Amino acid sequence: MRLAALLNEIEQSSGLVLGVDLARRLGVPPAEVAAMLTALRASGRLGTEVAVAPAMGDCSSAGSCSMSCPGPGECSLVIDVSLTALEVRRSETRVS
Amino acid sequence: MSGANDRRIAIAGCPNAGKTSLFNQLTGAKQKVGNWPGQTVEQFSGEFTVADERFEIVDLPGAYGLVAVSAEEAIAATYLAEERPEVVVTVADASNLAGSLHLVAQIAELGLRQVVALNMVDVAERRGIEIDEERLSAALGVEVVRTVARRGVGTADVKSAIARADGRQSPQLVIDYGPVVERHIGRLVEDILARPAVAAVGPARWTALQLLAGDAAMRTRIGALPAGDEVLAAAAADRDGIAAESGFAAEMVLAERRFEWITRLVGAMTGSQEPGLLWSDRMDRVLTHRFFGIPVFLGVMWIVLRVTADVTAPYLDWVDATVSGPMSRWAVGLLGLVGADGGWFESLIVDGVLAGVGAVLVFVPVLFALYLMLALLEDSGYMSRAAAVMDRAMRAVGIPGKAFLPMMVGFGCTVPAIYATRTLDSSRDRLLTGLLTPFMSCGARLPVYILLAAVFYADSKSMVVFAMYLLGIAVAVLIGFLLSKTALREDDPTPFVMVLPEFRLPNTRTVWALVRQRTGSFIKGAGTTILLASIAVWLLLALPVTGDGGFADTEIENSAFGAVSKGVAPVLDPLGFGEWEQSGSLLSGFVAKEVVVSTVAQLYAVDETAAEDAPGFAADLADVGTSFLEAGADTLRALPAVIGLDFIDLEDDTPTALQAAVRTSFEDSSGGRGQLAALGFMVFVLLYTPCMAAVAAFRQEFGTRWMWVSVIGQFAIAWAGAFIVFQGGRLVGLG
Ligand SMILES: Nc1nc2c(ncn2[C@@H]2O[C@H](COP(=O)(O)OP(=O)(O)O)[C@@H](O)[C@H]2O)c(=O)[nH]1
Repeated sequence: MRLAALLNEIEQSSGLVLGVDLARRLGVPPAEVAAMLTALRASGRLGTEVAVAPAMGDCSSAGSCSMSCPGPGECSLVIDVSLTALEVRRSETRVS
Repeated sequence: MSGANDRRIAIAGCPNAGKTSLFNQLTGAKQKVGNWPGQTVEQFSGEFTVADERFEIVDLPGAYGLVAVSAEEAIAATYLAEERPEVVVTVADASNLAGSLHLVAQIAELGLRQVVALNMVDVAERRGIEIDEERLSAALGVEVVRTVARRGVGTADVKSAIARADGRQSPQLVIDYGPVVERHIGRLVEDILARPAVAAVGPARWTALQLLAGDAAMRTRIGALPAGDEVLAAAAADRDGIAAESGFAAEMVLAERRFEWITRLVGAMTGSQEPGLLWSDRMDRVLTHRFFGIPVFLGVMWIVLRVTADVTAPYLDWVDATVSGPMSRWAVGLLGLVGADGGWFESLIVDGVLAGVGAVLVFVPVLFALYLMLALLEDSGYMSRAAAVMDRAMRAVGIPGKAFLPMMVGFGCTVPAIYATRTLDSSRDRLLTGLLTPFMSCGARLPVYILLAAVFYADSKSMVVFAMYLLGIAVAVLIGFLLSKTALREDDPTPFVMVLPEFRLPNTRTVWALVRQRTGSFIKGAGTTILLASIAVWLLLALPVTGDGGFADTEIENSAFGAVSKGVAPVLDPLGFGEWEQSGSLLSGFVAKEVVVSTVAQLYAVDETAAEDAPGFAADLADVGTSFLEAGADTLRALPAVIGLDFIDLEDDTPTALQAAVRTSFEDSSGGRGQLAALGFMVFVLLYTPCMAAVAAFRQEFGTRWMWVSVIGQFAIAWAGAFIVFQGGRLVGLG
């Protein structure tokens, strides 16, 4: 049960864990951890993705501290951290 | 338009697999946009014809699998299960086949006719991944078509595959979930088939699998049917049974088995060896290392600021000389042509607009360099490593994980950083992060540091700027630590995993687009906010409140601006910058940080132009050109200095008139300790309210009460910081 072991490892951490760290702890290549994470995600065990971009919906053209931040669109001064973060879904919410 | 005879096709796929690209290729311009029923998620649909047969095609939201986690996935899963489209085109990413197959497998288990578009084969080929699509096709019982959706390769094949699949018997994929699970599936299937309403939902095995996986949508659907409760109760018993017999939750056993099935399939297909360590992974071991990560991050920041502050200096001087020299002369000349010279109007244009906006535009090369460096870091993938490193450091002191996302954004601009706190889920974390992001030194503060550092710390300009950035992080960490120990105590943080994108060479086009866009908005800011602020400051300066001057003809000390600034000045006196000019520029800096620079330029309005003999227009133009080339040469010569190889001394020893005026002013206000006072001033600028837009954003996100807490708090911290620098420095005999 490799997926269960991985999930267990994640749940025992608090806050952010990196894929590379999980790979190190489980002794498997990072690419394999990535595949396992996708499997957990596809099976509904890892939850919503977090990225910076979606939160920017309300901030358009907030040019260098311009006075307003109106309407949806993209904000040119957002630094793109471009990563995928997967949140653990608490298993309590899943018990039928 | 769609008629009753149209066949319905759905297009599904993981996010970023290329679904939209393929959809656009299939439908061309014939698209409709609407909303999914009862949802804010947009629904795209369109149509196409193949062999005289018309198909209506719906683009489903991205989904990794059919056990829905997000709202988007729920829409896709519900549509597929309830509408049962004629054919599903599933877009799979060939460069990450295993990741894509979960969805493909689940759709096949649902028993829908499927065409798999094996997309991104170009990327896969580049990485040396070969996929035997015949075997894939045989294993899944579906037709597999290779595509490069971005370039439209394979679109015609997808169309004909759809036409072939339409009307064909739809095979249902059966994955062996192992004896324990299969026994429970068998039992549950019997329960389902015994109840006609539930049996009508779809293939019984599929219904059983979803119930065993604990899928909420399926539970709701079954619960609403006659005798549905009985099936739900049976499913719950089977879930418990699986858990008891296998020692793992039912959904975990299902996930594990499906994962194994896919791994085996992909292994057979690609003849895949065990994936080894990529060089990107090796680099990550160092870059995200618990201890080494931090010095690497600091080193990278140092290089960024070194390039920004030093290498661009020649261009800065060039823009400065052009704006204060030829451009001012041309403006005056133009005004003379229309007969508007000499009066208050000339003063508005020259002392107000040109001095103010010009002083900010001078920093375009600096911001350009900063944005270029940031874009390179972003596009190469380093930024996410930096975020991870910062997160570690911050979590060690109790600041929530994920706070680093908005904080990294804050290095660009505070306003989007405050909105970015929406990515945090608990309101406590959001507020805490919102309170901290303003301390991250945004791009607009850079001109202030550079202006003052050039005057007082010419030999160690980038070091001083670097120190400001570090101080901002340190203050954020300290305040975060204090808040999380007191007012905003931490609750149990949800663990989450971050997958770092692979390192890659930055793409020239992406980088250029980013740089252009950001530098553009800095310039736009100069043309709007800064322009308005400059005019407002000019008006206040022109308005006499004491003395006997008239409008636009008063000693600036006697102006409205002077009066207000003088009122505030005593507060700043202990900090070593209690001259009214200094308090005045800090006051106007509430609007935006660049305004500090434009106001300084207006207040010390130094007539550089009048002193010189005005050369002719042609001479001016030639001068602008040659000095630009010289700036380019100087920059090239300055590059080695970034890595510590100082071949030449580039510092321009003759300060501009503005620089001289600033120096005199700080020396006067601090009793001869200009350097210390200037450092304190920079610290103050770093720590006090970034700009009105940030305040407005903060209020929108966290309410008026917290807005005041943050504004007053920032002012107090800024005051304390500058006080410590100036008075502390004095005590130990610096400056
Ligand atoms: N190299 C390559 N890029 C592709 C291909 N198909 C799509 N893309 C790119 O992948 C990105 C995501 O595609 P998109 O259609 O938006 O994905 P969606 O999220 O599934 O709708 C875009 O930048 C596309 O241009 C392909 O076959 N090859």
